[in-house]
This record gives sequence, structure tokens and C-alpha cells, in this order.
Amino acid sequence: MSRPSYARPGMGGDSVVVCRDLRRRFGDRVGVDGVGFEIARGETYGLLGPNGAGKTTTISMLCGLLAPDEGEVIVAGRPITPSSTDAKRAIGLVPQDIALYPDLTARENLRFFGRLQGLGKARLAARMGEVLELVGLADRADDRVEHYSGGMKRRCNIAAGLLHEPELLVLDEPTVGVDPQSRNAILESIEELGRSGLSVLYTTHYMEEAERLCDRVGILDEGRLVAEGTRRELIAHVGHQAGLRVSGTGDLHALAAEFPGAVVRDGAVDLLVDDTGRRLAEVVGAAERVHVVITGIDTSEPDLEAVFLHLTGKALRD
Amino acid sequence: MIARNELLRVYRDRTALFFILVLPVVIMVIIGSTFFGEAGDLPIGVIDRDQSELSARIERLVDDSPALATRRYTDLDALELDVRTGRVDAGLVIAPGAERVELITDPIRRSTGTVRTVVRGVLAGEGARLGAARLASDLTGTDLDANLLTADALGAEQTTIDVPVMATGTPAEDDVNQFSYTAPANLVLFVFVNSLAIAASIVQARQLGVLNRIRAGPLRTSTILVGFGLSRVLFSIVQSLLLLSVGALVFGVDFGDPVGVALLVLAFSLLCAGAGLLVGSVARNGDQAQAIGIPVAIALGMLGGAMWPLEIVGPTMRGIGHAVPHAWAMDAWVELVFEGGSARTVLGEVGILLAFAAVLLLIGSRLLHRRLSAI
Ligand SMILES: Nc1ncnc2c1ncn2[C@@H]1O[C@H](COP(=O)(O)OP(=O)(O)O)[C@@H](O)[C@H]1O
Ligand SMILES: [Mg+2]
Repeated sequence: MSRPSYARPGMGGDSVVVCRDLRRRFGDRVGVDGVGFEIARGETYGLLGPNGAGKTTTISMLCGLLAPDEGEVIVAGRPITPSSTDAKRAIGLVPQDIALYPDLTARENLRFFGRLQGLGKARLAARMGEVLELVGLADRADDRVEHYSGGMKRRCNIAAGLLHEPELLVLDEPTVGVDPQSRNAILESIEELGRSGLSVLYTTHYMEEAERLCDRVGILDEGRLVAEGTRRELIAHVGHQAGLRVSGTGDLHALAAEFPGAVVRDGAVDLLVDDTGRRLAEVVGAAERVHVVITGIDTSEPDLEAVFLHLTGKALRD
Repeated sequence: MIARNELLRVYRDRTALFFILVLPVVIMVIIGSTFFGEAGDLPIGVIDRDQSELSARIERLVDDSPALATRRYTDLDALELDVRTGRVDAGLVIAPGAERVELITDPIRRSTGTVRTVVRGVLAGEGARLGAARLASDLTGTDLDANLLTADALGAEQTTIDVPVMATGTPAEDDVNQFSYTAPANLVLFVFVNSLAIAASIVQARQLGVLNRIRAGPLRTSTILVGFGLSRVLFSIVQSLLLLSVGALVFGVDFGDPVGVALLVLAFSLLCAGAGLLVGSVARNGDQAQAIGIPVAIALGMLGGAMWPLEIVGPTMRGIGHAVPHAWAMDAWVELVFEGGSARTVLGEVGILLAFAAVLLLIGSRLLHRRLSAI
């Protein structure tokens, strides 16, 4: 978990992305409702939120696929709109869908998208080799994409976004529908890219991914950024609470009644505490009073899941 | 940049391309070889309305031809039906007085050209004989049958019997063969069908998200649009050229004035591209594009004379047919192939095709532009 900490974005200073007050409606449905954030050069920034939170809509505006109703996007110092062609070169998009031609091989797909980005022959050939190596598809590059496993397709999808050496890599839920092993491979390559100094915008509804990859995370819900910061900063939202789980025999309900907010679940009492050491002593004392024999005590650190629950009153995934 | 993009798009479609380009050719080749294998015993129906010695002679000549197998009819409707359904390849009707012999054919049948040639050959001598005898009768007022015998004796050869070919409505020229109609008709039919079939690839690109990836790149929307449109025009032109070459080289079809052909192919390809863009932007998914596009293309082909000539349908259907661009394309082809038309004489049809194309391209690119602007 020890990752180098990057300079926090100041007032636009060395930010690779600045977006301000992005809004977009679809008919009377709100897609994104006032989202703004900055991404520092070399930083991996996560947008964490459940399905329908507005992650893809935000990304689409950021990449110039969708015109915002309000707000602005600046990437690598240049404004992005659907008609800004050159500025888009700074961005490498890895869409949520596997945006590849299934009946072409990985190499043919990459060649097509590389040329679309204006890469010359020699540079394209070199880059294709590099990105195929990075995503671990070098030995399967001449297979048709339709014959790939879900994980390989995802990796190839990422490769296509990296070809033209963008300053900012934007990944929209790149691990959806992938087996755990492939997912790990994908996360590892993104970590590697992050370490190499690439700026990354990563959206996901998996809090473990956001925790593992991202220097900073924005929590998105119903089109709004409800919180933003490093993992530590976000967890501070929950207060300094930790989860305490007391298992034992006897009248657990009586024990739970001693602590406001405590619940009995699966033969154990769950409660949130701010000072684990002091509360632990109280729990042991109370257990003696109500004749509960404690068989085990577990403590857990709060995670981004708990932060999301705390901020929105909802689970990240249903 | 655009051109490169184009080539890549066409290249990308190469699996479809294989079927799209090769299939019509294969069909034409099959038609050709079946035709050549079949000559020798062509069933032909005969109605004798004259019942004279002369008509009996004509019948016998037809009977004796090794290439023809005759079947006798009395009812014209029954004969026409059998021609249409293919039970016989043609119907020979000897009119009262044996003055006229009509050949009923189905112009889209592959054997039609052969039957026509064979029958004409069989009757050529008889026509000469009849002509001479009739001339003698007219001049001398003597009995026709008697003069026929005289003519036989003289071996006169002055005129040939006219065998007007019903249903095709086109003068039977010597450089016109049985593929002269089917080759351009197939071209019109297939090039259009395929332009709608590959419209599915636009829809697919949209659905796969490839279109979004393209849009996320440094290309203008208009560039992308032109790319899509141009690739389709090129595609239709290439397909047309291929089918034209096969028609000319393998089936010996003379398509007429090259400038006229070029204009016609270009106009029709623009039209196909417009239709393709339209379907590509309207259809919800690739299957829908094909499920709707292909039957529609075939129906339009039927209406517009790309399956059978509009001359054989009633005036109402012919009128309706000309609401369809195919009919104008076929008119232009008939003009070029059968009537020795030139670029100038097909200018009207080409203009109408271009108008159709302009409308379709406009609507198609508008809709696609809208699709490109919003996700
Ligand atoms: N093209 C669209 N038309 C209508 N509604 C849309 C469209 N795109 C997104 N939305 C709506 O906007 C909201 C945010 O969607 P999205 O950005 O895709 O969420 P996420 O990517 O976080 O799952 C959802 O309520 C979704 O239904
Ligand atoms: Mg999404």
C-alpha cells in the first residue's frame, strides 16, 4: 500500500486534467450534475461509483465524445469539445465496451486505430510491439479478437488506447466481466503504467480496485461528486470509526442493547467504535454483566465501501 | 488520411467483401455453366393456329431439330403459364395463315437466348421458302401451296421469316445474348443488396463502440462521415467493375458505350452509398439492418426490373417501378446494351439516379451525423 505520493494539484498548475462543473442531462434524466475535478500529471485518479452514477457520461464529456450542457474540460492545457481534433490526441480512451473489430486480429485492430491516430508506419510498428508486450498479448497478436477470452479482449482494448502514447489514459471500467486472474493482470499493467509516470483516469464500481490503483479517488453518486481525496482522507469522512465484531454465547441481544447502533448478526454483535482500545474494555465489562461468554473479537478498518455507505446511505453494489 | 482510412475500412470489411464480391460472380458463373451444359434438349411448346400443310411443315422442322424437344399445346394461356413456370423454355405460336410465328420466352431464363437462336436458325430456311412462294402468289394469283412446292424446287432464298420475340420487347440483335439483360440486372440487384448488407457494419461499429473510439481520435466528424460515405461509394464501384468484367469476359456481354457505363456505375454507386448510410444510421442493430435491408433491396430490385424486365409487367406496375431508382438504372442499361445508347442518351436516367442519390446521401449523412454527435 505504500505508493509514492504525487504533488497535489494546485490551482490548475501542473494538472493534466481540469474539469469544472460538468453537467449533462438526457431528456429529463440527469446524467451528470455538476462534476469538477483535477488530475495532476503522473497521478492515477479514480472515479468510484455504482452503475448509473455518471462515470461514463463524465468520461464521454472529458474525451470530447459528448458535449456538456454546462462546464468545461481542459486536457493537457487545451480545451476539449467534440470538435477539438488535435487536443484529443493527448487522450487515450479505453471505452467501457470492447471497441474492437471482432473479425480482425489484434494486430489489425491496432494498426487501424494507430493509423487513425496518425501514427506513421515505423512508429506504429514499434508501438504495436510495445503495447502488445505490455498487455501480454504479443504471442496471440495474430489471432482474431473474437477468439479471445474476455480478459484478453479487455487487454487488447487497453492496448488500443495506449498506442499513440497519450498523456492521459482514460479507462472506463476496464475489468468488467473478467476472471480474477485476468483482472489482476490488468490491474498490474495499469499500476506499471502509473509508476512509469502516465496520468490515469480510472472509473470503477469496485472499491478494491480504486483502493489499490488510485492516488486519489472521487466518489460519484447520482451524477454528483460526493467526496474526493486520498484513501486516508476519504476514510476520515467515516470518522475514526472501526468495525468491532464480538462473537460469543449467551444473550447477545442484551449485550447489543448496551451499545447504541449495535446489531446482532450471525451469532455476533457488530458495532462501530471510534476508539477501539477504550471500547474493547467496555465491551468486555458489559459482556460480564449480561453473562455473555466472549469467544472472539475481530476489528476491521473501514474501507471505501464504508465511506460510500456513510456518505450516500447505499451500498456500492446491490 | 481519409484515403488511408478508406482503404482500411474496406480492408476491414474483407470477410464480408469476399462474399459480397465473390457471391454474385459465382452465381453468374453457375448460371453460365448450367446454360452451356443444358443446350441440346430444350423443351419448347408449339401451338398451331393455322392447321395447314405449311404450319405442319414448320412443326416438323422444329420437331426435327436435335436441340429442341417439342410439346404441343392448344391453349395460349396454358403455354404462357408453362413458359413462365419453366416447364418449357419457350412457346412457338404459329398464327393463322402461317404468316407470323411468335416466340414466347421468359427473358430472365438462361436458356432463352439459345432457344431464340435455335428457333431462328430452324425457321430461317422456311422463311425464305415462304417468302418466295408468297411473292409468286401475289404476282401470279396462283395457289400459295403450289408455289411453295415450286419454291422448294427452286431452292429460293430471298427473305427470312420474322420471329418477333414477345416479352423482351427488345430487338434481337446479334451482339446481344442471354446474359445481356441478366448481367446488368444482377449488377443492379447485387450492388444495391450489398450496399444495404454492409450497412450492418456501420451499425456494428456503433454498437461495438468502435465508432466512439474513432470519434475519440483526432478526426473531424465530417472526415469520419466522408470516410464512411466514400468507402461505400468505392465499394459499390469496385463491385460493379468486377461484375462488369465478369459479364464481358466470361459471358460475352457487350455493355455498350464505356463513358455511359462509367456514368451509370458512378451514379448508381452514389445511390447505393446513400442508401447504405441511411440504413446504417436508422437500424437499431446489425441484424435489423440486414433483416430489413436485404428484403427491401430485393423487393426494390423486383419492382425496378432487376429481376425481370418491366416490359412484361402491366403499365401500373411499370409506373410504380419507376418510383424505384432500380427502374431508371435498368432503363439506362437497356439503352446502353440493347439500343446502342451513349453517355448522352442515358443522361436523363443518370440524372434521376443522381437526384435519388443526393436525397439519400443527404438524409443518410444527416442522420449519421446526429448519431456521431450524441452517444
Ligand atoms: N444516452 C443516454 N440516454 C439517456 N440516458 C442516459 C444516456 N447515457 C447515460 N444515461 C443516464 O445517465 C445516467 C448516468 O449513466 P452513466 O454515465 O452511463 O453511468 P455509469 O457509467 O456510472 O454506470 C444513468 O441514469 C443513465 O441511465
Ligand atoms: Mg459506465
